[in-house]
Amino acid sequence: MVVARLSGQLRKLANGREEVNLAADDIAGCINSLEQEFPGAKERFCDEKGELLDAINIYINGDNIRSLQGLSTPLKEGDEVDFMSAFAAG
Amino acid sequence: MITAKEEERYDRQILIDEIGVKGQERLKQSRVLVSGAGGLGSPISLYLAAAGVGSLRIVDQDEVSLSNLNRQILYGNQDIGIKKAEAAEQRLRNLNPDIHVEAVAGRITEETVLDLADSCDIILDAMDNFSARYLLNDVALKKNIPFIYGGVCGLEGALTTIIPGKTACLRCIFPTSPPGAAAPVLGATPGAIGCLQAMEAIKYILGMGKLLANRLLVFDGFSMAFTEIRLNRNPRCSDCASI
Repeated sequence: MVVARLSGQLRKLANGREEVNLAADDIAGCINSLEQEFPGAKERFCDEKGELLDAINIYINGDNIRSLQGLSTPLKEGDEVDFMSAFAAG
Repeated sequence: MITAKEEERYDRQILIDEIGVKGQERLKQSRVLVSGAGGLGSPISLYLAAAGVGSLRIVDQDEVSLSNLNRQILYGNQDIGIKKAEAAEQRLRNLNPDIHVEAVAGRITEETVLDLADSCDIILDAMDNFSARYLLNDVALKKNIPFIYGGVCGLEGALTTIIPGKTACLRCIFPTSPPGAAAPVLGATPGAIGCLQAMEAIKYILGMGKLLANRLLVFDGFSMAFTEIRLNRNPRCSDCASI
């Protein structure tokens, strides 16, 4: 199991929950598991081609997955996966 | 040395054990770059000026418009059409005539960023786009100047403190730029995030407390909740791996 942590308004996707425990082998699997449990979640993270949206950042134990293997980044038991929106305005 | 008048002005913060007269003198000697005089730059510069940061350099190329006034609390109706740098300088001098305010009505570009950061102790991000933020990140890394990121959208925002060579840099945290469309913003959101950025800057200058180093603090005003995301340096980061 891994822990998916949702920050800010992304929690709405999980009925307000900050953390969701999921079984997943990689980030794509983690997003699919979220979608299964909370239908509509995937479209907040990925475009129609299944690519990660520019406005979303995902971190595994503090590392941005864009600097790892993106959605294919493998997960191991106990990993913490943080989802956040990037805020550009000032 | 601070004067008797300054001691009176800053009396309430001098009472804080970790500040005292010595800390106040340190603030007076410090020099800060505030990059942007908008929603974040307003509370940042107001609170740094009020706290007695001795020298503030504020950069913004825009003029004040009516649609700025829901969040950019440096300005009022009378400033519409005036360069923000000019209006900000006036406002900050009125607030605290004992500090030096240098307002630059210009853009942050590859050509200007090095000079703008020159001799600053810390850089505060108050920009509204990531291309300028990446330039500031680069110069912060190059000149070994701490850089405090802040960003907002709607009722949400985030901030972190970047210490070159020690923490994740902006590129480690956000390897790619998010979409740059005009974002919805409730004025109190940059108010909250900007105040926290100002507090981080003061903590850094005074060497007190625990900085948001390798920690991204995410604020959600809808639920009044803060989340902290742990961050790591990217050993292959294009911007900071060699530092």
